[in-house]
Amino acid sequence: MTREQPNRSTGVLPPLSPDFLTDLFRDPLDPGYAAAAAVRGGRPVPRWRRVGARLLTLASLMLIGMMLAVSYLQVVRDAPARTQLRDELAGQIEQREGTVRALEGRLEDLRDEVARVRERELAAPEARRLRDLEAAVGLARVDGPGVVVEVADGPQQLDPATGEPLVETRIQDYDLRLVANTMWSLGAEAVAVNDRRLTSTSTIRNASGAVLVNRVPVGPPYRVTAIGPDDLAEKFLASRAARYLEALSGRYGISYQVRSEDHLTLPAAVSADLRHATPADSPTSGGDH
Amino acid sequence: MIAILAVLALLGGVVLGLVINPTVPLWLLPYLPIAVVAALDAVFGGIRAKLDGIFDDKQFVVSFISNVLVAALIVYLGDQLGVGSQLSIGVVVVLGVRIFGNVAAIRRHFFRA
Repeated sequence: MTREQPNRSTGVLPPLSPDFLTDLFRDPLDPGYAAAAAVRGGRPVPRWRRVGARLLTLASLMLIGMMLAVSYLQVVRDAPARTQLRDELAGQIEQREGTVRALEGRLEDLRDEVARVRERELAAPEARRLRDLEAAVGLARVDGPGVVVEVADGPQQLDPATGEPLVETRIQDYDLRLVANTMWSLGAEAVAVNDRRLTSTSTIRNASGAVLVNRVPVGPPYRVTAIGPDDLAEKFLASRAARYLEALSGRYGISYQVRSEDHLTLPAAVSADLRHATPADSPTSGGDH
Repeated sequence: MIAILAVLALLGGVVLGLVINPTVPLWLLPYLPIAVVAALDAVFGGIRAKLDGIFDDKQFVVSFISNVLVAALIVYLGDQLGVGSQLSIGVVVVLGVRIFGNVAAIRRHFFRA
């Protein structure tokens, strides 16, 4: 394997090449072959040794063939293991999502209970004020007449240049954001996307192709529900957002539908972290906290 | 004659491997791809030597075994030093350059170009 074969006639090593890489590119043959040929010269090799060496060569070649086959099989064998791992992870995600949903349901129940208890304990005007405030900021379930805007991805198109699916045919986060913001600007009191209630701190964002509402991924078809004044639907249809969706459906084939509903129920927002509080000025009537 | 025998031996090895389908022990798994590349290098070196008329059985067997062992050793050392993947790339590049050079020489033998 070494490059410096002693010169047979003089017995000295050739100088070490200063440029190993250039040598490697110029003459990649293992110099051992040439050296062995030089050593052999013209002398005959005993027959038994020749045959033995030949058998060894054939055995090595068989071994190499086996290695090729085994490494091929290994790659093939690893492929399902990878998809299996993926499926396992997907299963875990689904399971956790189920847990989250169950906890959200329980949260809703507990919140109802808190509201009931509060209703009983507080004076009527106070309780009503609290209720109204909660409805306005999205911390309570609200019912009422409103509008439903349903949008869904257009048929998948492939980019002629890259062969990848075109992202333009899919509903993006800013499309939904435009619809939601238009609802607010037209006087909606409560807005939700796919039953995720929007509050003043809600986000509709994009994370590598998936739309996240309040940091939870939602998928098509998207359903923006809004509770507001009676003419919300007409106003929305006359808005810039409606014209934009119209243009999208003409150009990319996304489907889009607006309808009024007499009775809509929007759930309470899930995340209601207490971020800001001031101590009460005077002891309240309850007096036990 | 020897060339045909060699091809038959290689194909026989492939068939044998597919039929036996041995399970590779886990600790050997990282070395398998590198060993295969090293073995390919020995094969192409052998073919070129054959065409040059200086093929030598002992040289072939020794170069095959030492190629595989050295490649595995480098990967092992790299793993211990925490640069396993980089050293693997180095081994693959060097062996790849040799394979390319040898294939070019083989091509010159056949096509005179």
